[in-house]
Amino acid sequence: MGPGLGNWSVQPPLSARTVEELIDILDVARIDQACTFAPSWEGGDFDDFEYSKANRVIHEGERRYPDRLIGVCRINPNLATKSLDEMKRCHDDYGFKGLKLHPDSEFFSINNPLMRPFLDLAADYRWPIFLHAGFYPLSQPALLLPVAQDYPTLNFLLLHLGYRFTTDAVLIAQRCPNVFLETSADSSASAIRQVLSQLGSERVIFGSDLPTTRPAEVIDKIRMQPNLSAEGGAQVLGGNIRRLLGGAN
Amino acid sequence: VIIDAHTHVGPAFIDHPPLLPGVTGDQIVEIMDRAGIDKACSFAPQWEGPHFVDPEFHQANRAVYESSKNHPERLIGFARVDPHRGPKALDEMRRCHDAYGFRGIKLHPLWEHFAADNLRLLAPILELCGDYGWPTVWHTGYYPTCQPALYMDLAEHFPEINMVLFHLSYAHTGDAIIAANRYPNIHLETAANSLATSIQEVITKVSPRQFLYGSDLPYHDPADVLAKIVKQPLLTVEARDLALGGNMARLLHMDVE
Repeated sequence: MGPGLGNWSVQPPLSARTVEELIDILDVARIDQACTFAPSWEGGDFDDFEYSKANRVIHEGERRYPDRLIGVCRINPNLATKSLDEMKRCHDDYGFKGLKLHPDSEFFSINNPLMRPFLDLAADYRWPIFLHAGFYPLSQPALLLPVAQDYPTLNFLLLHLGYRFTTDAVLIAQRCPNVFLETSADSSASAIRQVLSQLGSERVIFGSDLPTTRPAEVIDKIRMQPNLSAEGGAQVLGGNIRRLLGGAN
Repeated sequence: VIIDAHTHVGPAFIDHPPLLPGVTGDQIVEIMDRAGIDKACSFAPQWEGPHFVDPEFHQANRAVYESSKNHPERLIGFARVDPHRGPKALDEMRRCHDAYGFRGIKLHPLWEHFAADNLRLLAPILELCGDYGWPTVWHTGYYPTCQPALYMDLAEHFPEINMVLFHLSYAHTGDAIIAANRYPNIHLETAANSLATSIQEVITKVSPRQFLYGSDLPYHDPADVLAKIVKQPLLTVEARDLALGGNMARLLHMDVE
């Protein structure tokens, strides 16, 4: 959610530039709560390379709808100490509950040693890491393996089921109990079935990537899974992420 | 004349040390002397923080200018910008043209995170390149931002602008050949660890006017890349001369013997 969406080269099918628009989308899809973070900064009229404006917008939206929105911090790790300061602000002043990292958008890899200060701080905060995944050479899931092993207390969500790298994402999750696969964007029903059968419902987390995807479509693909019990569905649709977020409920 | 279409120089190497030392112009020229290279297109390495903070390439372009100032016959400055910076990127290009006398621009869709077919973002930059007569050189080779098929839209909209696709587009060389065969303003370049078999494929399928040498010095040793070209059994003497310098000289509007 946020004003940065106005600069996107391809406009998403829904509009979530303001918190009211975001809440409307959640209401229509009957979603109780949402982890929300800034979209990729793509330049243009909204100049926010450091995500400081975007994080504040998330905070203001969350303050108006505290029962619906869970703020997640976004940073550009290349800005080093400035980004650590942004994380601190998001934790101390905003009360955010997680960290979104986007290797393709901000150009880094999760296994770069320069990421350690951010991961250390996230571990202190007990924040789960929402990690964009799915494209070689910066965000393929295999890069997470050594990091997830080095940070056993940190939980990682591999977003988008790793896109075309779903099989790799499953292999990483099988080796790292702190890695979870998340369904956002246009994950196919067959990819969701694959990860459920290989990892079980306790390791798969619903996410939509709204406004780029209509959340009801993703929820339908989860609900239609033939081998998913009511209990398993509840885990995927909220139980798992609630556990990772600790205090948030 | 041998022209290397692809060399990096500058202080950003503090955060990603290359194979060979390439911080100063003197170091680059020393490497060129060893490899027998006459001239080199020279531009900044990627900016990826954290010790040298320069997301707008403002300091990096100035460092390229300063490093090439003492070697006007050897180093040919190329600008780098982040297209997301909009008017600021255009200002940086003007500075590179008016104050630094640069002769082209390097664009990197992966690093600066834009798609190579984003005409809305790139049109102002390419239009200014047209005014300056600048060739454009591009990192290519990775889906989904810089695979060669994406460059066809640009090549079609800006037929007068020459484009050099670096790295023979890595694993996408076959697609790069298709794009080059359709658009005469697309050229394919050998930087980094291009396979000898990929070079051979390009030589046999692409016009000799559209294939050229670059090394990615100092990340790679130019002698390695040169050897892979010179040893090609199917390369004629005329085609070799075009590849090693003639084509880049034409793109730079240079008179060479």
